[in-house]
Amino acid sequence: MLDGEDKIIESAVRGEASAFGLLYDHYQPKIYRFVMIKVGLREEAEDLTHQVFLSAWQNIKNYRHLGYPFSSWLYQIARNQVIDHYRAKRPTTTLSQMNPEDLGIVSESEAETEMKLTLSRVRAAILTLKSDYQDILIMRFVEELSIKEVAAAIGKSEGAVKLLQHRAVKQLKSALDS
Amino acid sequence: MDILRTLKQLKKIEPDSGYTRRSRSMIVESPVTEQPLWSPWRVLVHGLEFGSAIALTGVFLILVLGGVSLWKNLSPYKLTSLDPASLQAEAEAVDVHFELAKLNYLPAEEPAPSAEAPKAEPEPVKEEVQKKAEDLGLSLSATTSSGTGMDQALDLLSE
Repeated sequence: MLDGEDKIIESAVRGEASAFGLLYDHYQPKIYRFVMIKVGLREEAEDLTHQVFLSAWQNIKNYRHLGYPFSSWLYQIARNQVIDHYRAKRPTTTLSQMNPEDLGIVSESEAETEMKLTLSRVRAAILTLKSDYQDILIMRFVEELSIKEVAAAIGKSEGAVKLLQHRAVKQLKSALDS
Repeated sequence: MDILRTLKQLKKIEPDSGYTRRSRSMIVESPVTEQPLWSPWRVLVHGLEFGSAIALTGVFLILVLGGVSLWKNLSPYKLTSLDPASLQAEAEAVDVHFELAKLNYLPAEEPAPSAEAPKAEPEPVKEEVQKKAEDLGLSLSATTSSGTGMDQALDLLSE
């Protein structure tokens, strides 16, 4: 969460572009990661992330602070963008299509190359899971959001999130084992 | 493999800085489209939303109330326990011989104990017994009026 985020959000809601720019700088890498893990291709992730923030800026006047962090609202928009993306186009990403360089790690060492391959494998396994499971795994274990924030972002109760998280981890393990 | 630790490694995914710069400037420079508070279209949409909500509630109520009465009248699986006429008929047809039959099993020689005191012998019978006892040379004491004495006397007479 940004320092003085409430005031920045208020300014953005009033239409101050510079305030929204600050929110963009803080949240764009998180939303990009979320989208990137879900769609698997850099170009598509960039397009979708751009759409998420454009949509957020166009609708910022409708934003109401209901006790949840601003990030939950952005994740909601991102989820909807990804769902629309998959509705329009069937997912075709496979493990072989994934480029380990997309992970953003530039290194020549053997250990890091191995790590990149492991991450590609994990990301491919995540993509085989249900959409809700993917979202919860990314938000909880990659972005380290709290249960409450995840619940607000995916529109479920905190109890449901705990249950889904347990199932998601279990399914991810079996996907990696198989 | 520690899955949770590996998942944390995915945090290393980062967007390209050139893309970030371009995207940011495009978004921040784009004007926010102002939506008028009360456009005719918005009023129409709100009216339709409200109207459809009321209509759906009405339909739901009609379905629930109509469904119950329809079920009551047309269903082959009637709830007889809720029909007062059949309940009355059933109550009238209850077999009351049960108690009477039970009474027959009581031993005939042992009458049911009564709280009343034993009845005194009727006067003519008592006199007759006394007379017959005198004829036989027996004397009846004053206690013969008790149940036991009378029994003994009757036994003697019957011999």
